[in-house]
Amino acid sequence: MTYSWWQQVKSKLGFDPHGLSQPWTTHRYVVVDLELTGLNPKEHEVVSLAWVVIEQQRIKLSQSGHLLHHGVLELAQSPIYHGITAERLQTEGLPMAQILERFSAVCADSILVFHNSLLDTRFLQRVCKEHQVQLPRISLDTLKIEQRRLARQGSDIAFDALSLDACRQRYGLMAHTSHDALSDALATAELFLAQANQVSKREPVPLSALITAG
Amino acid sequence: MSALHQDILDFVTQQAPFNALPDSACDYFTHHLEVIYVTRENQHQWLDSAHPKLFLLRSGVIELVAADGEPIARLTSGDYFGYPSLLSGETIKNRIEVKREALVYMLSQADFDYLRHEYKAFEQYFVRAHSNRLLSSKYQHHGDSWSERKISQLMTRQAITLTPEASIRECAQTMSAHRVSSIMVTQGEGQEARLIGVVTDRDLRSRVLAEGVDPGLGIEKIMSVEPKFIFENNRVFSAMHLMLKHNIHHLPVLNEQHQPLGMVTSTDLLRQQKSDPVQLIGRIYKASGVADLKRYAQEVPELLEGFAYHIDDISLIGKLLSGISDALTTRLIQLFQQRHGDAPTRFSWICFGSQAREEQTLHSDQDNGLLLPNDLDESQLEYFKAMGEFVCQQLDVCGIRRCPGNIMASNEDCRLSLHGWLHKFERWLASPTPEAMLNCKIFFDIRFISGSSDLFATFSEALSALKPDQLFYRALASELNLNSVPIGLFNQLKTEADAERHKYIDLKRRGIVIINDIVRLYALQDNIRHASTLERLDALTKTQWLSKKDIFDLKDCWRYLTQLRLRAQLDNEPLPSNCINPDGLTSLERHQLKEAFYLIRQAQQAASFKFARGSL
Repeated sequence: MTYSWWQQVKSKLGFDPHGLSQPWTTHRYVVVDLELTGLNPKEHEVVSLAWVVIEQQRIKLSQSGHLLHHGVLELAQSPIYHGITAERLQTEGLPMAQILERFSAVCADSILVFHNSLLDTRFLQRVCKEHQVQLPRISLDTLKIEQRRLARQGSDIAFDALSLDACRQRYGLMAHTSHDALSDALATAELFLAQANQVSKREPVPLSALITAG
Repeated sequence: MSALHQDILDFVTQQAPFNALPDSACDYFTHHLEVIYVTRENQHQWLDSAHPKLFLLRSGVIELVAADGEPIARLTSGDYFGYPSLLSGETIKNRIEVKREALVYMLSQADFDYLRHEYKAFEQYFVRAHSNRLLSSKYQHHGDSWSERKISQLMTRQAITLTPEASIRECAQTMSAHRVSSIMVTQGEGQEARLIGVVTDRDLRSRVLAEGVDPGLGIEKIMSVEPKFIFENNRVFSAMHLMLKHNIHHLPVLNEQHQPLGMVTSTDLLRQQKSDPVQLIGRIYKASGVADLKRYAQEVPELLEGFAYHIDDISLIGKLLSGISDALTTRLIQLFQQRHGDAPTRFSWICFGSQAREEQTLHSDQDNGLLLPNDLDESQLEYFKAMGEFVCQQLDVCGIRRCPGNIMASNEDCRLSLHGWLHKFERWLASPTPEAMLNCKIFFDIRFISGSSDLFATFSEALSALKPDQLFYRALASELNLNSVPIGLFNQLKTEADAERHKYIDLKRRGIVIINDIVRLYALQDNIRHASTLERLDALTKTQWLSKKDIFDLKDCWRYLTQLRLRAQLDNEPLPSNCINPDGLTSLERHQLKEAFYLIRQAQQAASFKFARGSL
């Protein structure tokens, strides 16, 4: 799902189906966060999926979503982290097929944004494969954007310097209090706006400037 | 299928007006927000007249700047902007300057309108915020209107002082060394220093050189004793007035503790922008006869019209008109004395009602009287009878109409001795009949104009010592409810109609008078001796009866109604004086007017509750 050197070459040659050379402000973004029962995509499950939408540099709260997964087999100790109980999953949850159907509709023609995409994308890839759903091919990672920015400044990057709140703090954004998937997605979206503006200076940079390999 | 953003909802429910609104309003607001990140680079793109929005600042700092570059407000977390154009539909003139990158919540016009229509308190909040912004942005220009500036802003030099024992030569040397044309003579050291005299270069010329006085003598021999002075917090306008009235060019400036701070000179004032109304007052004080006075007085309406559109604080108009009336009165008294000889005893010319409150309008009539010492003989009384008749007659000629209620110094009942006046007040206080109450309202707004200020001070003290009983306050408070604000059951403006069926609202009777009555009631209770409603309100901040917010609201309402009234008078609408036709107002002005009446009604109810219950 990430953008490779090969695609960069193609876009230089004028082949740009994803609008990578267009200003970042012209794209629609869907900022995603997942709640999981654990860290292993092979063994653990998706508890909930939340997103917020950015259009024309505006986070549109009316288009946000937070869907719970009805079919979680084993919550185990994970409610300690996400606070979602089995009872809530039973009453409010949806089957994964429905979740992905709605989510993929929201994502159409958009770019996915994560904070720390590594874990979430692996879970998403797995469930999408199971249900044969296509998600957008291009995604951004606010953690990597930050990592690269700090590396360019030549600063040493401390172990916890790339947590969502640590990143936000560098842009003067307040710490966010609740830590459910929706709140994290919103916090990531705000961080993304701050980063994109910071990278942009006078003119909005092309989308490609926000994409980092790996 | 949108989900609930608890973080934002928590923030929103803590903000006014949402903290007073039902959950459904907070949910709706949160649900329909857009979040933007505003930086110096993108700050220009958010305020768009074609798509006005309501903005609520979540974090960061933004400065709101007027078209002329004048900063209006510094906005931080929890502050709104953008609502004026949502309310008025006018194009956006202000711009924003980001001081620290800001996270801002944004609501569209359609969603704003929905909330306005669904929730009364939401609408009220923004309508009121808007009118406060209008008023407060006007006060920001205070500094631009020179006559409204404080003396302290104008005074640059520090006080040059000498003791009375210093020699005349020493005085001249000090003045040369400091390049000043006058010095203050003080007694006492440091905190205790008190002004006792002034020496000017003119004194050195006329009282030393011309008279051949020995320059080795102390300056106490040649100084002007008990000089006029002004406080640092007074307005430039007052200094100008004082100088013109007494024909002096140097005015010592004191702080509230009467310690000398410095000197303002007529040159300092002239250096400020020239102003026609003040020049007019100057000419009045120098008029050689009643014919001149009449001619000058005719200039007033036109002058006022030119002035009214340049002035920011509307309360100054009333002050200015009262200043002109004061000047006319004072000059007429002087002219009378020139013709008939100096007064045989001390006297104080006093005024009542709107002139005393310094809120005169073009339609105000005379309310004045003479305060005389006790036990005058027949011929002395004859003299003051002639003075009263002359002054009132000539004021009428100058366009200040005779009082229909005959409260004028030409009337024997208003030309009384100290005892006479006190007895009158005593009688009213003791028997609160409706007539007595009406008299109290007029006569308790009292101000000294000309003659002996000592005599007036004696009277004032004696008047303060008359302690009215509860019955009196209760009666005044119940009087309050005889006038009601013109707001109907369904919050619509109630109009009256004249013979030609013109619809109108009487701003004076139905609004301004009620505020004046409420404020007078509190002022009397606390023995506040100011006559002007705004000054009384300022003085009331130090007492417990009214909260800061109540006082702020009442001042706002008073200013707003006064301003509307003045505009109507200048527009010469075919309506009774003090009245406006609400159909001529924009929808926003109608809202503000309703808001003002609403606040007045609240204050009225609060006052009658406090006093009528006898809880004091």
